[in-house]
Amino acid sequence: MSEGEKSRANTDPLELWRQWYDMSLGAWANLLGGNEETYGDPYGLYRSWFDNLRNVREKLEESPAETTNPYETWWQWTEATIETWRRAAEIGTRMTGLIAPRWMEIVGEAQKQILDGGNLPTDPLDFYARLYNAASGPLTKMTDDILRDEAFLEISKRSLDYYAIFDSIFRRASEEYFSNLQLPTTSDMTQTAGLIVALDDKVDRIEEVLEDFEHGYKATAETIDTLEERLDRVERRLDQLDRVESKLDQLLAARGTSSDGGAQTEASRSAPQEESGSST
Amino acid sequence: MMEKNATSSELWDFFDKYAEGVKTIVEGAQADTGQTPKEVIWTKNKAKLYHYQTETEKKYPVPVLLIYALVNRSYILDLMPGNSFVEFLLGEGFDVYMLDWGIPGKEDKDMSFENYILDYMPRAVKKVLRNSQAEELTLFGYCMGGTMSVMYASLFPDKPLKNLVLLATPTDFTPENAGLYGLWFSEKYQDPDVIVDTFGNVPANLAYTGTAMLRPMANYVGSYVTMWDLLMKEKPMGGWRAMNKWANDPIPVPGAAYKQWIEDFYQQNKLVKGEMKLRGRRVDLSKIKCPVLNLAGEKDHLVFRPQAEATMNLIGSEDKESVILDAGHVGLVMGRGAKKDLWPQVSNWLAPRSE
Repeated sequence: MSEGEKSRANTDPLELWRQWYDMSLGAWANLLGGNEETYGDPYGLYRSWFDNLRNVREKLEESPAETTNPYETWWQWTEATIETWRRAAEIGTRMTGLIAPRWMEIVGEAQKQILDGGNLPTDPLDFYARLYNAASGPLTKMTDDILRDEAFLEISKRSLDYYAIFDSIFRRASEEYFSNLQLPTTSDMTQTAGLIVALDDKVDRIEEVLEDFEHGYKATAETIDTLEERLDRVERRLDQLDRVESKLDQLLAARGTSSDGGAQTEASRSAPQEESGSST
Repeated sequence: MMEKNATSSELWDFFDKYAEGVKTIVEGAQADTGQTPKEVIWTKNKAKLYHYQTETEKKYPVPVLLIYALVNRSYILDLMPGNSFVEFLLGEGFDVYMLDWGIPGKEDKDMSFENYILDYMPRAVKKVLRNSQAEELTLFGYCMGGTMSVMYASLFPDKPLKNLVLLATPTDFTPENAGLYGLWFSEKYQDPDVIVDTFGNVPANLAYTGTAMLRPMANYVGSYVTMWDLLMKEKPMGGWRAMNKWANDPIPVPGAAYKQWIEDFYQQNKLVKGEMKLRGRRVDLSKIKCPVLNLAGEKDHLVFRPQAEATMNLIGSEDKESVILDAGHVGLVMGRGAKKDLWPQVSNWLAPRSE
């Protein structure tokens, strides 16, 4: 058989189906083999699926015409899968117990969605959209179950703890290495940035004090009225002071006048005497 | 011949779409987000206080200050033109501000809720009041930002706090009500010291994984199924791109704040018990007396309905309203549902209280 013929043979749907089937069986056998202790029959699920799919394959080989009908093929595959997982669920192992019911839901829903209208979608995007619509709900529930599972949470916590230890060691080693090379390290940068932040904080506090000072004496109508009243009172007092001052001036003037007058009187009194004395 | 050309053109068209899809998956979705014009009126360390600009006439004298969480980016509140909560509020005549905490660096590993609530928030509030020449303001907190706003409101319950709006805000962290987080963050499975001592801050990718794993199918697969569907059917991709960009754009969480979040909130539920203290000051939610609007999503998988509803029994306000919407954590604030339900509810509640 030439290479070209081989390649054509590989595109035979029946052959593809067989290859996929063998591959899937191997994968599931490996997966479930890890849970041997929890199974009465470690290969129970494997055998069950194998039997179901063998039936499907035999049917397909007996009537090759049906292989050209994707609707029928899909139907048979999902039927086989549902049956297999139903049995798996019955086995009731821990993880399978979590996954199996959801998986059955997915396959059942996928069957409904993808064969909606009685035909397989020809558009691949449409196919995947339908598959997603079918799978997303049950898969979300399934992941939710897993994310709540104690074993999963325990493993996650430990993984994070181990990663943190590893990261700390790596960071410390890097710091020391770059310090020895006289190169600035992340901690140097962090320290510098910290100083800038502290400076920024101080500037902001000063700005706040200045703003409070500026806005602390904010004039309101009330304060302006009070101030005007006080000014009026001050002005009234100033007026009084003016009056007092003018009175004082008048008094001073009067005193000045009176003292001048007195002097003149004295002078006028003494003058005739002098005149008279001189005359005498 | 023409038929051949048509087929060939269709094929090229398909390859173009395929290439675009692959590019988006590999490089991440690109979109112009946070487009509403804004002015930075204050900065402190990495935090920025934005004042959003608009030509719409300001109808209400009481400004709205949006407080976002310490996780993820704040531009979810201003995602893109036509799908922005900020833009909506401006259009309704509100004066809008947002406090964006920024991206913490390694030097910020010791930043705790004390720093944010007692140092940053009062300062931002003062700045807002001075900038808007108002004497009171509305505080609007989203998610963890809501929890921070509640704590601020209990410590500063008097003027200038006029209204408090809480969106998807957890106050009760009883494990049974907290979904997967309640389990993951329990003392048995989470020791925050391991992360804080090792990394300083919680690395962005770790924070992202923690959130995405709550719904792995939707986040890791469903999102891209939607992308291919939109792409191949030539439907508008803008909304998807912006949303996907935000969802895949995590930021680190300051170590000290994360430690408090896990220990004081999730593990010890101190807020509900009245045992929460910030620099020795007890956070007593019954001291909150201002009007409160509490919004939560029925489908929220991050903040569950009982976690948010608990606030109503803890606060001392007489004017308080709780609204449960048929939406998820993000769907509450953006998308068609938000435009139809949440945005008008917020505006209608705020309008008479912002006179």
